[in-house]
Amino acid sequence: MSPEAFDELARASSLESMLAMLRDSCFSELETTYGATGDLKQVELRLIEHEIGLYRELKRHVHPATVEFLDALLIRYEIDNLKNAIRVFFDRIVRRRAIDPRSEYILYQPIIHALPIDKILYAESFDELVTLLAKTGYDAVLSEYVDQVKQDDSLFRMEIAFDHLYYARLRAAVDRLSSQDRRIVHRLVGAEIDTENISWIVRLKTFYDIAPELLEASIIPGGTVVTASHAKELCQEKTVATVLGNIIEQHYADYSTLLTSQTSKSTSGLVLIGRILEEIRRQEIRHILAGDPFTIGIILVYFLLKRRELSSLRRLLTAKRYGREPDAMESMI
Amino acid sequence: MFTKPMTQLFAVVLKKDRERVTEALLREGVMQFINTSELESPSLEAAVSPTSSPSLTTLSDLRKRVEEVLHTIEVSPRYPEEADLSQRVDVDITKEAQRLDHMEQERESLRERQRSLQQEIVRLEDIRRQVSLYGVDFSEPTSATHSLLRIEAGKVPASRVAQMDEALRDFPALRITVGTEQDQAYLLLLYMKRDREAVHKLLADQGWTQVKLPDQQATVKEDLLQQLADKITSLTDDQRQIQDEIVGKIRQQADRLKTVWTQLRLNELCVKIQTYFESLSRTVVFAGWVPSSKQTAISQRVAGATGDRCYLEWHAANSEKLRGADVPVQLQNPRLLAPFQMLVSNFAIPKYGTIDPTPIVMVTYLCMFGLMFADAGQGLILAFIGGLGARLLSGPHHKEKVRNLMWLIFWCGLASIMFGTLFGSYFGISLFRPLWFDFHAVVAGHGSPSARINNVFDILLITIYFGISVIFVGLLFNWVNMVRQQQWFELVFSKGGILGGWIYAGGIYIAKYAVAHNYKGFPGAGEIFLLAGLPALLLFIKEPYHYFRHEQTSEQRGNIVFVFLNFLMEWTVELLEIFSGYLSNTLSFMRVAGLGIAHVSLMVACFTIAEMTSGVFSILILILGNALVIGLEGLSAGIQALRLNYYEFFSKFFHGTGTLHTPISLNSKL
Repeated sequence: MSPEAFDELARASSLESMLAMLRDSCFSELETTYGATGDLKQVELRLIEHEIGLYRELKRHVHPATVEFLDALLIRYEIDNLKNAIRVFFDRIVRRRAIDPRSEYILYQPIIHALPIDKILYAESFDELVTLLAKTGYDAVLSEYVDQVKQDDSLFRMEIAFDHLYYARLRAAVDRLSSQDRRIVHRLVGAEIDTENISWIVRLKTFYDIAPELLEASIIPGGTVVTASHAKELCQEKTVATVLGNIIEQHYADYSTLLTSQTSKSTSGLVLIGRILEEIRRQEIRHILAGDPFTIGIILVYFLLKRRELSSLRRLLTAKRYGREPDAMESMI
Repeated sequence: MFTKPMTQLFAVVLKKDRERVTEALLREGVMQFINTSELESPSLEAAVSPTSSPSLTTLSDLRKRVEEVLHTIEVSPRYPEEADLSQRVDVDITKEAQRLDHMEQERESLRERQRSLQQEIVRLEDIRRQVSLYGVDFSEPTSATHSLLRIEAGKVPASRVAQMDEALRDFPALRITVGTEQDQAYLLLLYMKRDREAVHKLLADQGWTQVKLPDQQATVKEDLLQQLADKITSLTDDQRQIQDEIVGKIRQQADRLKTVWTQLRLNELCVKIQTYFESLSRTVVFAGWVPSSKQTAISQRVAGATGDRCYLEWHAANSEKLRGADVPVQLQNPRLLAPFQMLVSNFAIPKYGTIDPTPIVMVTYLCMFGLMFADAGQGLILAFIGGLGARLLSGPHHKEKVRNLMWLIFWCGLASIMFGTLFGSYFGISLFRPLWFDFHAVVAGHGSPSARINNVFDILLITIYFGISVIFVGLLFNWVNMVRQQQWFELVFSKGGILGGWIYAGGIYIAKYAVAHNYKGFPGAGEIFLLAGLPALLLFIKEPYHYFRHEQTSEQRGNIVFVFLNFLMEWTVELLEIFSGYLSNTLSFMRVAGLGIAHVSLMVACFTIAEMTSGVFSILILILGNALVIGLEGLSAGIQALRLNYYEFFSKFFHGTGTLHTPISLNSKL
């Protein structure tokens, strides 16, 4: 969808109108779903299913050597789903709060592994969870972090470990690609990890009073510019914007002039950095799209762009549901 | 052939006639307004901004809101017509906005009901999934089995069933009535094991007495699944009814909303026009462009609306008294040529007063396409697809460009039929005697030696002659444009001017002479000098002329040696450009023959493959082969014909610096 189409959606007078505008696009089923249920949550679930469906569809057409890489990308959805299920379990068993699984975005259909989501939701203990997740690789993460979770009374560390697992598997899948594909994908995955890391750093440092070692531990390895040493630096520095500004100046000199007046710890500074990172990521994407069309880069770029598109659409739908103003919504696109 | 002559109107009317004049101008719908605040006119210094209530934005927002509500029930409001203008009334913006708010609130409350039902459905689906996967636990409450669900049988006073259902609403539970006996309802209750304590407490409050469960558990499971499915279906039906109710409620209002939309749009158009008006203390000033043919009609309309109390000043497009920016361009072609006008305007809008090449593009494009895709049978299919597509997309809600594309395909089909008949090709078969020559036979090397066209070189030659003709037409158009714009120097000395054309014609003669003499002879030196040398030498005048005309002072003129060397360099480069440019332009037309030959070769390949098999397979191969050729070759021929027009033809004369005339009319898109 073009930026103009998103702008038009943002200016729609109601959620119903917004969905009607999507009637002639590949998202026409969203209007049908909302019309039948009146439930935006169902619409959002359809979007997630739509996204997973794209991977599945592509898997049927690509060379077998690429399937493993696509599966590695799909693991992200499985991990997100699993994290949602574990949250329900955790609230019920550890925090003794009855959270209705229907309040979470949970998919019951298998994505990569046939995870017994129902049993996970209603498991009685962490040990049972570990057994249920046997042979998926997720059991190892669970076993490793059970004590930490109980000690912290929080799933935070475990969830970070799951994110790290996703990127570790992705990197492993990348390593098995041909040298040309590997070179292209490394660049883009590196930029993705950087964006993810910086997004985490900004959130943790700005909005939470988080322990330095935790911040350091949350850095996903494999980024192009943001490393563990930056994380240490970030822990000592008072302002996130300064450190991130330094990173950008060091690695992306072209954008540093934009930062000269924005080095204070302010939301606008962070927003600017976010936009610069987005622009950097976009440039990486453009670089790949302008290159050899017969590499895996094209597939990866397609999914990255598609993911962004779906994520923007989800944000817009939610914002419209809660009556946000069009101007405020434009920043979400 | 040329862009439509335009005239500029500068008008002053009384303030009290403002609304009537606005309607008159909208009714005629031919005026592209000029922002009078940008005009350099001392008389407008005292202008005050018009006050229009409600504002354009308010009207526009409300109109879009109404449109969006109608869009949700797949209703498109119709564009207003002239008759609607006579019934234009002011819309009560606040009242209409409140009505829309009310409609949306009503819809939202129905959606809320739908959402509750959805919650219930999700809850039941949750239970159904659990029952299907793990069954139900019939054991005593204390026993542990793998199932997450428990089922219990019991009875409660029939009068308390509804109350019990209400109490159970917050739990993922299912209650099934087995039967009733003497004020007692016999029930099966299915719930999550984890909710056991809370459910038991609740049941006790309702007077629940446990009874023995049936022995045949498998039957109970099947019954449960059936009950769940029935309940989910029933709830889904309820949701559908609510959706129907929502649509029904909007449909009830649809006619009124359509009327409101029409009125809002009319008001919006009027206010839009009035944004171009400059109000003085007692008068209103406006200006704009209209096609010259509409000058009288506009004069009459404005005079009629004001009772002759108006001052109208008309200026031709070449007048020195013109106000504002460039003259807008309106192309004047019959509707039949719309697909070809689309091709031209996709490239650019021709400069005002220059040639609009649309009619010639129709001829050149179709000839090129026909030569590349010469098959009457396949052309018939193209024409059918194009005609059908154009017919199916004839509604107002379909994009005009897509419709024009369909018509273009139709025309291309007709061109293929014509050239197919000339070359005797019908789905690759020579059903009838060709009217010109047998293209297939020539390409396959079976051409008759006595015929004028008997090998592929002859076909290539045809396209070169065709190319030369197209280029000369382009040059001719350029000269006409130059004369019309009185650019006399460029007419003679530019690359596409008379000297350029002279060199090109001379080059063609020399090449033809050389070919006629088996590449062993050239015309005499005198002839060559007259044909190419003299115009080339005359071209040398161009740079010195520009230099001495524009660089007036001796400081600007610089060192005369360097200046002369510069002239020499410019002249050499220009000559090289002319020679290489015209040569490549001409040879470029050989692609027409190339694609025509490729088309025939593909068909020959299809027939050869088909001959290797027999019966149904053979027919299937021929059908698939034809389909492939229609799709692949049709696309290639279309693109190549477009490319030749854009780069070899248009580059000779086309000044695409025009801006399209965009009047405000009842059909305008705001």
